[in-house]
Amino acid sequence: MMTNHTEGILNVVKNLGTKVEYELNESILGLMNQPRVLRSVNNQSQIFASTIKRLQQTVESLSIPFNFPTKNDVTNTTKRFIQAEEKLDLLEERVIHLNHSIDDLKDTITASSYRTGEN
Amino acid sequence: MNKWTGFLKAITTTEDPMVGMTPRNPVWKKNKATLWHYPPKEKKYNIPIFMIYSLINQPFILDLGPKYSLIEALTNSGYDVYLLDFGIPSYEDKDLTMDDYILRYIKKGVQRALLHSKAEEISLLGFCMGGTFAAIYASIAEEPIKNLILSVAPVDFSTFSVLENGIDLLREGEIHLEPLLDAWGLIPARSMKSGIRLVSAPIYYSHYLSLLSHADDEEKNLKWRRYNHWAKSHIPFPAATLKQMMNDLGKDNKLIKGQLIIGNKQAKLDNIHANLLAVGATYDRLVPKEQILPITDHVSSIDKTFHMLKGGHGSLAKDGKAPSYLTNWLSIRSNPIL
Repeated sequence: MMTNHTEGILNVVKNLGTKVEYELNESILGLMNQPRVLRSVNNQSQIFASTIKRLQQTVESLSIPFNFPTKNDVTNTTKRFIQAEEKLDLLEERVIHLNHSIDDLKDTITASSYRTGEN
Repeated sequence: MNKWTGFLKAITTTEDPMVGMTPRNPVWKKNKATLWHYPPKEKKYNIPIFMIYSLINQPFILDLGPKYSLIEALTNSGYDVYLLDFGIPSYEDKDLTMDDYILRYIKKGVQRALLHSKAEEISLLGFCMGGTFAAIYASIAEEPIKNLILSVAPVDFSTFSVLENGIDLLREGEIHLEPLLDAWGLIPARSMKSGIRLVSAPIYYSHYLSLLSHADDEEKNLKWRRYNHWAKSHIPFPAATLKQMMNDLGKDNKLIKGQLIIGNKQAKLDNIHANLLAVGATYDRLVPKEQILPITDHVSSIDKTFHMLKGGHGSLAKDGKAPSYLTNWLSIRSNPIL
């Protein structure tokens, strides 16, 4: 009896909570969808973007006299590894195709020698 | 264990639950990407399935745990399953574009899966943005694609169900996101999570209410923890891909118009002749039916089906079952071994 009562309350809480969540989200999304809000966010993002860019340029400039690697340096090195990996990948692909060709050739030779033996 | 104890235990456990437990082997690796092969228990079909997941989350939603795994269900049904896991991108991947993902990862991955399986044809199964990529790849592919299954994959971006005014302002050139994306290079995982949350459900607590309703059931709690772990496991996103998607797909809607260029090739949907199954979900706020259904009018496939699933955006992936509409459709198109 007690368990059923608790289950009932929990179901009401769940249904009501889900409905409230949905309605709150609808209101927030509606508010965000207003052109003036979107334009304002866009303006803020331009300021944020230029601040990040300036900071990045400052760090790049400082990295020379202070002799420390930046994320761009690490990125350039890693990109070389990825290029080398791609070349190895191509070579591996060729080896796989060659192996398949050799297998096919072996099959053909075996089949033809079997036929010759039969004749 | 009563509900409150179970609830508190589930939300206070800091250890991540185990996920991705179906046996698998790496077939090919490049950069952070891995092509995984999940062998079938008993092979019953000649055509393997190649899965492409979205770039926003990690693909372990497809293999949450025993009995809750779409991959496990498909291998139990007798399919060879391949999953292309793009991995977690780092700053050096910031310049990766949609072309790179399609030509250097998906195309190569499909070629490797064909070589590995020795199959003559393959089925593509793409989820969400992975489905959009699958459709783009299928429209330029030289590889033999027999079946194309797109789960909640947007292809027509003429309508949006959320922030429609924002898209209009973007199209009119009043909103410029490029400077921010260029400055970031790689969008951090936290920002991706916040961004997705913002356009889907800015306030989100109903999952705790679901947990409370079954908190005295250990197995359901574990499933909840696994799903919750996935829901929080967003990954960084290369800004170059996002810019290309925003401009070519979101702004100019080039895919449905047949104007999208991928690696010097025109990705026209009418190049697709594979059997097509497009799946939408009734309660999907992110990808409504209007963004999915139009693909059926643009492909050249003779055999094409649209299925509306009762559920939300991640239903096919997260339910952990191979639903009958999928298995029935796929089984007769996958060359059963007699």
